[in-house]
Amino acid sequence: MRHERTSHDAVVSLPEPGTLRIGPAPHGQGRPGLVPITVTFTVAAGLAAAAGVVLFGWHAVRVLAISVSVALLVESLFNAMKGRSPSWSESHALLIGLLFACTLPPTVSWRVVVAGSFITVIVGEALSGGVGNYLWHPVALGRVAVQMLFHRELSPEHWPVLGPGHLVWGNLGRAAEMPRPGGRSSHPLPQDAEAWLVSRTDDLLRTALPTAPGAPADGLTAFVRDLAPSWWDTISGAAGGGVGEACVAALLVAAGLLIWRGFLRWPMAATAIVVAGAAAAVLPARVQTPDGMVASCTVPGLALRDGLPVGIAYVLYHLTAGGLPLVGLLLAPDPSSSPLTSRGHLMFGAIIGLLTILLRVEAGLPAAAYWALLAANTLVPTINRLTRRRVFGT
Amino acid sequence: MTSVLQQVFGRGGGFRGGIFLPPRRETTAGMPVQSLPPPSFLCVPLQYDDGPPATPCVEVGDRVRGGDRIGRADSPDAVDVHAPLAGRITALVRVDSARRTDIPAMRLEISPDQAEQPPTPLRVPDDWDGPGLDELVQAAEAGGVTDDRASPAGLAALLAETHRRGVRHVIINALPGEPMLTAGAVLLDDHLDAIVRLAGWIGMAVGAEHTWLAVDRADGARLRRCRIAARRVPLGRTRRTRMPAPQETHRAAPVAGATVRLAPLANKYPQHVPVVLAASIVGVETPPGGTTLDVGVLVLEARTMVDLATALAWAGHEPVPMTHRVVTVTGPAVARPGHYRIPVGTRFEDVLRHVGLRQAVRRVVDGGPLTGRALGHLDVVVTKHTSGVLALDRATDRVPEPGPCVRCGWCQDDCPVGLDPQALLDLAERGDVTAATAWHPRACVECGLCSYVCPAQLPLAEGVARLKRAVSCK
Repeated sequence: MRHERTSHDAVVSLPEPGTLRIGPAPHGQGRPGLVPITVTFTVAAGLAAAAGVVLFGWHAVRVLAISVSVALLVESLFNAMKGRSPSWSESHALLIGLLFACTLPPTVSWRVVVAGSFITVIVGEALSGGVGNYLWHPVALGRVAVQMLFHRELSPEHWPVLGPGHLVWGNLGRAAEMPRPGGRSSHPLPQDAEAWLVSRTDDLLRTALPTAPGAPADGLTAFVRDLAPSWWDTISGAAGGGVGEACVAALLVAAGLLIWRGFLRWPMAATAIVVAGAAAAVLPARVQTPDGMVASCTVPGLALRDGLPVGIAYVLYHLTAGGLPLVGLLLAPDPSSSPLTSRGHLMFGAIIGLLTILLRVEAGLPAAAYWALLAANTLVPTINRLTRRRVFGT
Repeated sequence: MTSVLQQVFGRGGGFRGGIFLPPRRETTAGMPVQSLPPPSFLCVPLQYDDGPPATPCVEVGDRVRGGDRIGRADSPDAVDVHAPLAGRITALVRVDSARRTDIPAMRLEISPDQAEQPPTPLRVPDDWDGPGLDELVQAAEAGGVTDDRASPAGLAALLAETHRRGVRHVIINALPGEPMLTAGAVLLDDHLDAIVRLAGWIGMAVGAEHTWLAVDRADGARLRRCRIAARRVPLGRTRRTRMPAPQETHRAAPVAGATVRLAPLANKYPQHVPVVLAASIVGVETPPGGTTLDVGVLVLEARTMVDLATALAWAGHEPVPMTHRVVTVTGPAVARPGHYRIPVGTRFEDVLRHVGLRQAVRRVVDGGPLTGRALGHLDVVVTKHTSGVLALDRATDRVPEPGPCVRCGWCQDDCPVGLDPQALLDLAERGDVTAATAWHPRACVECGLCSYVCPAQLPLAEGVARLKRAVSCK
C-alpha cells in the first residue's frame, strides 16, 4: 500500500506576529555577491598561477607564496590600524597578491616581491580608497612601480623555463642556453641542465629586429623563422615569461571561466585583441639593415614571403607576447577600475590593445601592457562620461 | 547551457539592457485555477492603489449578495467595489494592503451556507460583432475592472482617456513577466480566444491602427496557439486571410485595429513592462514620468481582458463584476502551491491557512520575487492588484548584506531605461532631490533589476523609487 507523503500536509503553523522578515526586493533571488566574484577571479588567477608552477617549479611557488602572504599580512595590518574587523577585503587582498605574483619573472629576488606586493596593496588599493574607489588597477600599479625600481632584475636578457621531463620538480637555476635563438623547447636538454634560457618574444618584438639582406619584410621572415619560438611553445608557455603571463592556454581557460560567470564582458576582450592585432599589423615594424641601420617595415601585417603570410604570424606573436593576454583577460575585467557600461568596456579594451602595441613597438617599453592598462584606467572617468546611457525619452 | 549562450550572445532582443533570468522549473506551471473556500469574513478595501476611496453605498448591517455594489466611485480615478460573496456588512474598518496602509474597507461576514461559485466559463459567441467603446467603458465601470500596470488604474477611466487622446497602437501583454508568477500564463491558456477577440475590439474601439499581442517567442507551443487564435478572429479582419469569402467582405470591410498581430518577443526581463513593450514593439520612448499614452500606445495586461470579458454582457452571459483575483500562491514554504481564485478582501492569513505550510515561514511577499513587497504581518488583504503570494522559508530567504559598491556598472548596463541606479542611490541617501532631477529618476519602471544584479546587494531599486516619488511630488 502506498503511503501518502505527509510533508505536503499542513503541519507547520502560521508565523507568529513579528517574526516575518521585511525588506526590499529581490526576495530569495539574486545574482552572485561580492564574495563569489572574488572567488571566481581568484580561481581564474589560480589557473594561471598553477600553469606557472608547472612551467617554473618551486621558483614560481616561492614568488606566489611571498606575494600572497605579504598582501594578506599588509591588508590585515592596515585593517587593524583602521580598526576594521577582518572582512571580505582580505579575500580581495589574496586575489591581488596572487595576480601580482603572476606578473613577475619566476627568478626574481624576494625583495622585489615583497616591495611590489606591499606597494600593490597599500598604495594601489588601501590608500587609493579601497575596492570600488581606486582609479588604477593595483596590480598594474605595483608592477609598473617595481619595473621602475628594479629595472635590471625585471628585464633579464634570458628568461628560464623548465625543460621537458623536468616540469614542476625541476630547478630553474640549472638552466642551459638554447643552442640558437628561437630554438624549440622540445630540443633535448644538455646533460645536467633542467631548464632552458629563452629570449622572450615580448623583448624580441620591442627591440629592433635583425634582418636578412634584402627588403625590410625579410626582417619579419627572419623573426618568424629564426627568432620566435614555435606556436606550441607560445601557447603552452614554454616560450617563457612571468609566472602567470607565460601560459596563454591557461589564461584563455581562465577567461572562459570569467565569461561563463558573467564577470568578463567578452566584447571587451575581443576588442582588445582585434585592436591590438590591427595596431600590430599597421604600425611600422623596425628592422635592422645589414649595414647596421634601422629601417622600418610599413604595414607589416600584409608582409608576404614566398607566398607565406609572415605578417600575420608576426601579428599573432604580438597578441600572445608579454603581459597582453594577462592584462586583457584577467586584469582589465576588474570591476572597480574598468568602465561602467558595455560600450565603455569596448572603448576600454580598444585603448588597452592600441596602447600596448604602440608602447611596445614605438617606445620599446618593457611591461608595455601594464602601462597601457594604467593609461586606460586613467581614462575610465572620461569613458564613463562619454558612454553614459541616455535615459529613455530624454 | 542555453542561459550561458543567451548571456554571451543574447544582448539585444528589442531593447538595450535587461537580462535573461536563469531558467527555472516553476512548481505551479500549468496548474489549473482552483477556488479558495470562502473565509469567515472579508475586509473588502474601498480604495484601489493611489486613487481616492469609493463611497460606501450600503449600510452597516445590510445583507448583500455576491456581486452587489458596495462602494461607488465618485471621481474618475476611483473604481467601483463589489461584494465578492454573499453576507452581511458588519463594520467599516481600516486595513492594510501591500501597497498602502490604513485604507478604508468593509468587513463582510460571509454566510456560512454559501456554495462555492465556480468561475464562469468565457465563451464569446462567434457571431458577436463585439462591443463598442461606450459598451466597453460602461462594462469596465460597472464591473470595477482594473489593470495592474496601467495608470490610471481603473480601466473605464483609462479607456475613456485613451479614446480622448487617441492612440496608434494597442499592446496586450501576454508575456510571462516575473519568475514564479504563472497565473497569467494559465489565464492566457484558459481564455485565449476571449483575450484575442477582446484585444481586437478594444483596438477598434479606441481607434488604434495596430493591435498587438506580445508573447514569449521562446515558448513555441503557446506561440502557436496564440497564432491560431489570432487567425480565428472572425469577420475577415485578420491580416492572414488571403482571400476573404465575398459575403464576409460584404458584411464587414477590414477595419484597422481589429487585426490582432502577434509580437513574439524574447523573454528578457523586464520585457513585460509597458514602457519597454512600447519601445520594443513600436520603437517609441516614453518620456520620464509619463505613461505610454503620451507616445500613443495603450498597454494592457492579458488578464485584464479576462476581467473585462467577464464584466461584459452578451447573449447567454450575465455581466459579473471583478470581485476575485486569480493569484499564484507559491514558494518553498507552501504545502499546496497553485493558482487560486481568491475573493478580494481575503486576508493573507486565510490564504496561507488554506494552502498550508510545510516549512516555517520567514518572509511573505505580495507580488513577484523581483518587485513584490514583503509583508510585516498577515492581516494584509488581497486586492485587485495582488498577482502572487510567495512564502519563503529560512533556506531560500536571502538576507541582503550590503557591501561597498565596486562600481561594476551592472545596474547601469542592465537598466531597461538607461538610468544610473548607483548614482541615484547616492543622491537618495544624501536626500538631494534637486540634483537628482537631472538624472531623470522618474523614468524608472520599478522592475527591480538593479537590486537583483547588484553584487554588493545594495537596495538600488528602493533608492531610485524613493527618489522618483520625491521628484514627482516636488
